[in-house]
Amino acid sequence: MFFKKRKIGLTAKKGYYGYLFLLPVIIGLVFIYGSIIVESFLMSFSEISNTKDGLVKEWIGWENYNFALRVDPEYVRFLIESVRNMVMNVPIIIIFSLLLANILKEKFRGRTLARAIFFIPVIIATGIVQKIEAKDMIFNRMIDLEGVDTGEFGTTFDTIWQMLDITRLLLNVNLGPRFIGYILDAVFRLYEVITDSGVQLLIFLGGLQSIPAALYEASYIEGATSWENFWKITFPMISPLILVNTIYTIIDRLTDSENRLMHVIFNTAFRQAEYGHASAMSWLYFVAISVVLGLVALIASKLVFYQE
Amino acid sequence: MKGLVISRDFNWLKKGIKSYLNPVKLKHFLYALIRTILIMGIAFLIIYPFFYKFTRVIMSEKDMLDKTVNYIAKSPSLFFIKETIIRIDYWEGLKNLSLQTISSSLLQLIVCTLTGYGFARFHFKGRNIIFALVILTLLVPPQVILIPLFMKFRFFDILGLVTAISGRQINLIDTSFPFWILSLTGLGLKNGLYIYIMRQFFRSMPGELEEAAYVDGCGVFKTFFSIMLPNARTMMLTVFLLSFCWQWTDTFYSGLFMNNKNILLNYITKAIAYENSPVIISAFLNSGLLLTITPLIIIYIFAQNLFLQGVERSGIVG
Repeated sequence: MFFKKRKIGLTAKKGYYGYLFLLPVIIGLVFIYGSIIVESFLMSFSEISNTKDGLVKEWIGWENYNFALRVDPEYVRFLIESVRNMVMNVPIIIIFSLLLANILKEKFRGRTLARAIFFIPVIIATGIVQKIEAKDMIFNRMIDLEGVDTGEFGTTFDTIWQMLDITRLLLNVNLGPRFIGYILDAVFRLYEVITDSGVQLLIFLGGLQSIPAALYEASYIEGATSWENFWKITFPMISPLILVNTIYTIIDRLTDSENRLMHVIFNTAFRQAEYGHASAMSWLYFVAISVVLGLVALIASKLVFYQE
Repeated sequence: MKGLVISRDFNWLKKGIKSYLNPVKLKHFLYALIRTILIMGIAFLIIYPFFYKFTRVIMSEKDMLDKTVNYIAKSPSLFFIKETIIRIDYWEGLKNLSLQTISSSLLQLIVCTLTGYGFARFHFKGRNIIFALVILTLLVPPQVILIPLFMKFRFFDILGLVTAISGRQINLIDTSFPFWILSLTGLGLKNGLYIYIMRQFFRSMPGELEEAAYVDGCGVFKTFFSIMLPNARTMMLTVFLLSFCWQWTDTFYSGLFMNNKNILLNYITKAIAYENSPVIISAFLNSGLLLTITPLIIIYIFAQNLFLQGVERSGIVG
């Protein structure tokens, strides 16, 4: 009755359906996730000691944050390092996966096989291979040795590059050593770049395939080249997914298990059992990541094209 | 003799060269060449470690210790694969894992699609805050919430309702319920990403479509099911593949909630339980790994065909 008396517009009326669509997630966030997050947040303001009565919390205010920022020798350094590495990696991964997705979208012989192979990085990204290889003593022993072929890329791949001597070749190009260094770094880590961009590639592929073919046909008839097609059709249509992939890549790079800052946080929590310190560190890290994501979203909101 | 006659007649060759000298065709040919080289090179990089593992797995023990054997086994044997299948009770594990993965990734797909649509097309209070929280769930690595999550399902209760009905909190560990509950509430592995993908996809759909449907008398749900969903097929398949892949290879949640049931990955250690030699352990681990990921690739190839069919009739439908 209360709702009927007030005049509400169509959009606002429709808006209530939004809650309906979101209902499962809201329930999950409130009943399952909410308490966990709140608890962790409170933990970051407390000193937690393990006594015979179980874990005892004691409120100490900003002490944990002070510890992370001022006392801990590694935290700030690794924080800056992680963010810097992320900034270096994200463009490479996004460009690489978009390029490959564009190639794999096309029709050519053996496409099914090629796509099946390019799906393997998605499996690698889940970390399963790493987990099993961690148990493999032979593998771990051999990757430390030089010149032994373990099926890991470090070995074979480096040899090939050394033989090509591509560094000297590229340094002769007049593009500034910094830029060349950046490109070379990406090339040397090609295998990492490939395995890190599997998920992004799959998302782009799905996005490219849902662009209506009619658009391309029309522009082809009008005489557009594929280069123009890419910038005038593909790029705007895929731009919402470029944003998704950028955000995902940033999160993925920053919360990766290889990330040194994550190691620091895990060690603090599970080795040293300093839960208070660890949760303060995680919350600070979370704030840092949010700032980065916020900046990206702000810039992207002007560039991304929606058909709303 | 006929073959000789044909080979002496070089017309086909001349024709071929002529047609390739045509600048447009030459361009196409060069592009195809570069594309092939690029794809083959990268494909090689991806496959090689698995190829290497595969060659090791189909060797007999003697070959593994033989330094002169590199890729091709002198006496190939399926011993390790067969033995792994028996030791980890492969078929049972495959059945359990498939059931669990399919059920939870389907649930995730449904929930994430609905949520993505809700975020994309409705304006309501608190939308941005809820969305930020969804991204937050993606940000928090599952290891961080390990203990509270376990406790949540070990002593499961919603607002004291369960306690009120059955008199005590129920233990959901070692059942599939934790997976289903997490999937249903959009908290499964990487669900924030899927929600985000679907949201962006729906936002990139033209709004006139829905307006037209609305003017024609479709309600919100009918518009969603008969106009939006058919167009989202490819994206939904992508999300399904991603969630399937993550669920299939997940050891984190399964290690937490499912310790006593065979779901392949937690049984791989059984294959090496009484082995001492590192070489043999390595072979068993590799064959376990290959046996686990092969079904995934097969499923991808099947799904791929669905993908391609989707492209054939791509364009706005509904």
